[in-house]
Amino acid sequence: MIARQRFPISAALILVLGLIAIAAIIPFSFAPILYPAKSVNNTKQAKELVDLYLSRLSPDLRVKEIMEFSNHFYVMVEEKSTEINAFELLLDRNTGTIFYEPGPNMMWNTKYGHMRRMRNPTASMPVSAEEASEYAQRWLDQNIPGAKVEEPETFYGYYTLDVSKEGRIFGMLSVNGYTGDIWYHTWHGKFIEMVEYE
Amino acid sequence: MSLEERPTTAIVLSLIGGSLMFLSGAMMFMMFMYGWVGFGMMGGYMGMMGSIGGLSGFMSGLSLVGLVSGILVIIGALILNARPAEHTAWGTIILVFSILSLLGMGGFIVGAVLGITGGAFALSWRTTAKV
Repeated sequence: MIARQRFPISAALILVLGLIAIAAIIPFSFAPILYPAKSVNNTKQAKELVDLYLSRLSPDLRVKEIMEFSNHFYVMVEEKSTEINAFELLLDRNTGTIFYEPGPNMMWNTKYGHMRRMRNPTASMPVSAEEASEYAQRWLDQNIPGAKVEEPETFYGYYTLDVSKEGRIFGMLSVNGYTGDIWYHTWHGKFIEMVEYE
Repeated sequence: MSLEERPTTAIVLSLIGGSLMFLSGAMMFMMFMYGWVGFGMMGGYMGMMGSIGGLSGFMSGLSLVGLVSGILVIIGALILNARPAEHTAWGTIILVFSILSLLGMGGFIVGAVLGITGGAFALSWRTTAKV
């Protein structure tokens, strides 16, 4: 015998309660408990927030340097055990959100970026630090005359170099450790200050 | 054991879809609330998604939508299996919450597609049993 189709009370109850639950979750997503937006005004506050973030990732990571820019804070993270620079973070100064820096950090990093499945990620690359400086300086001479590169910082798969003009840092660029390609960091804004940590 | 016919395809698709919605919702929630900690082959960290505060709070809230939808789709599929005569009601529930799961990643999208298909199959299911 074919059973009669119906919409039972239990189904109606689940439908209504489910819709109410989802309708409640959406405004709850904006609640302060899940959305702790907090402006970050100086490198000390930035360091505290990034330390908390890194403690959740690995005990082997530490903040090596923080640069304050008009758009955000730039954070260089180092592996304690190897003393090799691990990756670069950006911290939104208005919300306190921490995220991985786009660009070379994501695309060229052979250990922590999209290339992380590469076997044996290493900081020993075909392009040496000296060559990276040369390539970077050559690129600056063509594109930002008068700008000078500072000491290269070695990451897995690439180098990042601060760029200065008349003795004052104003930006940075990265050099691919395998191809020598240059990637200028156009997203930072105006440089404000830099703090290095031992 | 009941010999009653069941919309097997709808049940299986909905169960798989609901499980994917639950899994993706749980993963997203953990990722946005606590940061994403390395599942990479080299022990590395998934890029760009780990964060504290700001957007991550909002995203972790939305991932709960996926989580709840997944649970309700699984419940719908299980009851559909137990009471195939009520396929219209449980098919509606599977369909509605599969669509809503898209707000919270929708079981990596595949889960939502499976759930929607399963819900549609349940709604259109007709028994071949003769009186």
